[in-house]
Amino acid sequence: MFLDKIKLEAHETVLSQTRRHWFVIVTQLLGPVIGAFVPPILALVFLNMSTTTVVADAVAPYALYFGVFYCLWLIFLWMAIFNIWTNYYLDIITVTNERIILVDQKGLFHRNIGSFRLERLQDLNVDINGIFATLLDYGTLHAETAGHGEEEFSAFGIPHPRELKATILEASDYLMESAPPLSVPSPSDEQTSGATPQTQ
Amino acid sequence: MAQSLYMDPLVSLKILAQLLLYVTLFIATIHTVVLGYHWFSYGTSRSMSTIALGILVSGYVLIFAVLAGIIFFLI
Repeated sequence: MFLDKIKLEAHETVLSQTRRHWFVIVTQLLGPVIGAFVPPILALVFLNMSTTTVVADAVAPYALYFGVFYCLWLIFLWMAIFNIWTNYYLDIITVTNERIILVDQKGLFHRNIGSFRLERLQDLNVDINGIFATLLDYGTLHAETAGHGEEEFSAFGIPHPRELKATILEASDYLMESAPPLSVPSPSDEQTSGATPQTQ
Repeated sequence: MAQSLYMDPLVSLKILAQLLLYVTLFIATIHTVVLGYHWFSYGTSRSMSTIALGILVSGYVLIFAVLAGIIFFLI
């Protein structure tokens, strides 16, 4: 499963694992759910508008074919619903005591996995925007990491983002405190250790 | 001979519906296999993946049963 794939390092423990807020998937599922009711409503409206029996008689032999079309439409929507659920289920933010692992399932065959070490974390921001986000407590987490090229990542629809930010900062602080202090080797140390650069 | 060239439009629509049923069944099977692979490979919970697969297949079976019923018994 997931944790087997990401291969946690020795002494690495998972502190938090979270998916997007349930409201995000509900809003995404609204389209297919509403779409399921559109064809029967349109058919009813069409039949009610056609006041003459000529139209009704002309359409009657094809009523069962409308049923076939509707079933095919429902199959298409069923696929769409489970694609949305798959994106929700597989998008995970995992915070360990050493790094943040961000999995973003963009499509069935498009998967983006980012791993950011906590000691490289420079800036962490939470953006809660909108009435639903405020009431239901979800938002976007932005993080910047220091490196060769400054990287940044963001994850939207994260439930309780302030708590997650606190968890990440706490883990980052603990990691920095427990890390051995950086020492610059003196020239005499280099001579005694025999660590001379090899030339070819 | 000339009359056999003209098919009843309803018969041809029935054949088209059957063809659509088989094509959609094939696509749904591939879709189920791909989703199942993703859930069981990258998911976090085997039980949740199993439940999701059960719901997905149950929904497919229900809709395809209605579709096949309409095509093979009612049309």
